[in-house]
Amino acid sequence: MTDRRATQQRLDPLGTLAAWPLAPAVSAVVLGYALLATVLQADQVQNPVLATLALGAMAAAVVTLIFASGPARSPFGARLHLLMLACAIVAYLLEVASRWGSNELVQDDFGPIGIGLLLLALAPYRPWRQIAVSGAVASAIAVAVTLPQTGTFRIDVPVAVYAIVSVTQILAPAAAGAAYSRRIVKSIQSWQTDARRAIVARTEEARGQLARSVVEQQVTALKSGVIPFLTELLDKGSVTALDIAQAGQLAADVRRSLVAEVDRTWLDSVVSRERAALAGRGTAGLLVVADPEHRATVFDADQRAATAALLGALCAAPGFDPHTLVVQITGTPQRKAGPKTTQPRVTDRPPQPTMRDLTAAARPDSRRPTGPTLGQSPLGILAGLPTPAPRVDTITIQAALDLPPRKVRALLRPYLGVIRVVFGAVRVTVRRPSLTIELDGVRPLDPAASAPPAPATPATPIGVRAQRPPRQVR
Amino acid sequence: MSLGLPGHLVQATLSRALARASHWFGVICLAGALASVLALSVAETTDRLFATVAAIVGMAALLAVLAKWRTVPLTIAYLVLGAACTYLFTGAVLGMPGVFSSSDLFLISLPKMALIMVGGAGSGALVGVLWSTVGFLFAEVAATLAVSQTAVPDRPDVFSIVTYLLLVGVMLLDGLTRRTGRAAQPAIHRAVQDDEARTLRHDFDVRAIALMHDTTLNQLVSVARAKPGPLSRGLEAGLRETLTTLAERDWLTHVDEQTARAPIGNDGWLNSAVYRAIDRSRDRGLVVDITGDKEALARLGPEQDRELGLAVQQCLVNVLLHAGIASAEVVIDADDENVSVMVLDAGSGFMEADTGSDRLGLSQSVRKRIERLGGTVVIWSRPGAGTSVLLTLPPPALVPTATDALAPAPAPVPAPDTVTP
Repeated sequence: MTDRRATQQRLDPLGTLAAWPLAPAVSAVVLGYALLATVLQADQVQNPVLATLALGAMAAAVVTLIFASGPARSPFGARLHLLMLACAIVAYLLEVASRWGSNELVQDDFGPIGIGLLLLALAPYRPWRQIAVSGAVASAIAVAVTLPQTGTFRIDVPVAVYAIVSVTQILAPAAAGAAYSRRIVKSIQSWQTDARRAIVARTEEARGQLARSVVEQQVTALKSGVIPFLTELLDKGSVTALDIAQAGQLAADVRRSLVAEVDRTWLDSVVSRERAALAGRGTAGLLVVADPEHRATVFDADQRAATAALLGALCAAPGFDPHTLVVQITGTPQRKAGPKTTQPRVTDRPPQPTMRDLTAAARPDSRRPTGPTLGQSPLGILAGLPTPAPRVDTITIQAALDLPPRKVRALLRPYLGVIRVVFGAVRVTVRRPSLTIELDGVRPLDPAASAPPAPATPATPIGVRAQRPPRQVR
Repeated sequence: MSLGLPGHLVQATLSRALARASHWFGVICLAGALASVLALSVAETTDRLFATVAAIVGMAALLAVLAKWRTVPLTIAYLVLGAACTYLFTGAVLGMPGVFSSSDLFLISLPKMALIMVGGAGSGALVGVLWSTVGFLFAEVAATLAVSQTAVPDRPDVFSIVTYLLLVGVMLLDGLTRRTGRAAQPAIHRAVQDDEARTLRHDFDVRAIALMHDTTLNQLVSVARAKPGPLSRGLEAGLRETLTTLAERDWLTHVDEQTARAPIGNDGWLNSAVYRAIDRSRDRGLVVDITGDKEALARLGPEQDRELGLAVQQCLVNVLLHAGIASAEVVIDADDENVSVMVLDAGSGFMEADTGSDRLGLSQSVRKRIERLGGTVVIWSRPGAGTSVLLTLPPPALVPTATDALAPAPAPVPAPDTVTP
């Protein structure tokens, strides 16, 4: 997340969920005041049509704010921000036009204060610079429309005072909103830096345990067959035809299990952990992962963590039917631009550039040197390709959850709040008891960003350069 | 990045952000007030122009200082100076003969709104509301006094009242609403942690698989391709080398050199109840640094381990609930007779004497628990100076085989006879 785009909503979606009543409240105040001001100062209104249009434009601004800040719409984008600001400014201009020549005071116009409050309400959702710039632009417009009204005002003071009044009404709340946005983003970022460091340290603490458990797992697998077999051969000093056949069999077994392990993705680990958790609670679950193209590997750390948390919440939810969870990952094949290679559905083909290879290569933090890429340089794969279009990979989670839809949504709201920020698009369908959640991970394939990743560790698994892409075993 | 603020940091963070917003609101209002006074004085010189300008500039300067150091004395100073400034400003503006016909002007509200937006010291929502209320009252009294000395009729100031209500509403909303899905934050934190561990494990898996391929699989394939009869010299050497590599020590070196170099047996610590207690508070977002002789915890009996874990958990819960700080430190120490755990934080601290009912945890869950097992608890704390809790337990007499470094669980030492659960 670049600093310029950082908002409270993007960094702390859950915290922003708590603040959502603010937008409707501010909207009610703004619209209520606009109505009140128009009715109470009806004698100043020269053109009732323009005054009505002004109210309509302010209503549009308010609706935009409520719509864009709604929990189901996050994150609040720049377009809606501009739309809201434009509507509010148009409302202000129409209001001024409707009273042109007979406006007695600036302080009771609803335009400036309305714009200011709407910008204030953006604080949790928009970057501080954009709020501040919006305030500055609106202020300049306010000065521009206030100064020409000299002479029409009731109180005889320099017109600069009227300009100051209208600018302050916009700028004070807007500055407050920008300051809040800046301050809270800084606080959250500094906390996240600490938290990241703590997470790395915490993982390091368990490093030895992890490494030993991996070794233990491998040694256990070998101790039952391979090690006794090799030891026996060495002791005998000769091989028989039977030994040769057994060696071939063992080699096939070992290869199969290696391939299966290479193909295991984070999603398999997450689901098998949930399965174990369900078994621990006394219900054997049937949780299915359908990811034939290993698209799971292309999701980034935030997406992985958010999905894992959502799956955990689903499996622990009351009314969850443990035999119904299916997690499927599909993706749009390259449509227009892109390599001519077809999707590798047939598994027994010789190594060739596949989508999976491309995406693995494009991921800067890829720590997963997947089978087929290993023999080739990722740059070599990318070389000579036309500029690839953005790709969409979709995680579809289906489950049966015997709860009223309202409760399902309440249960999922915090998790979806996070997920909406880390995924490109989220669709949720609740038809009791079935629940379907689709998460789109959109990744523009930027060649500049897809330089071959420096290996995170020197443990390049040369040994996994298998003869054929190890993807058939699942 | 989805690591949102953990519950224990929310209030302090929001309070800082709201104070910062208030201060900016106030500064803009004061700038507006200053510009207005200057603009008015161009048209018609008022007698109190200099004093008014000085008061506004002083108020703005004090606001800037307050924004940097939010302390009680500065807050009070700002409120007092602000009230004086409001009085001067209102008097100077409304005192201009024949200009203004009533007091309900946005212009007059400017310093008052700056006073309401005091954003004073303290981090609670209610404290913020209290400061703003004081600011509002000061502003109203000062303005009413000033208006009463002019010929202008006093009318209620809608702008100040609305600003005050809006600010109080926002503070109460941010401070008092229960955060939606509070259980979700630890779950997401945990998921990020698990993902990190999974990545590391995957890394190890990949290395192990590589080693398996280079040794075992290659060797099996060579055997499968050999001709029946005596082993060739090359094949025999290969088999020997493979078996050596697969010996446990070499495995670990290949999978993770760091682990292989480190002395074996961090596991007593990782399996201790204290570690699990720390783990749980880390899920809730507390950053816990651990130093000292962690393995010493393996010397404790199972019940001691469990009770010490619960006591440490209570100490960390106290940090989460009361200290208002992101991190805590746990220091583990041991000598021949005692194993001690110290939980330190640099948070708000407290006086043990005047702890309310919510501090019951410290006496009941910590002190009683440890003293029942023959241990001691010492607490150092002072408001503003953090808290340190030292828990000391005598481990049961060492049975020679008790602490096998490879044992996955704390050695099952017979519980001391003083213990009756």
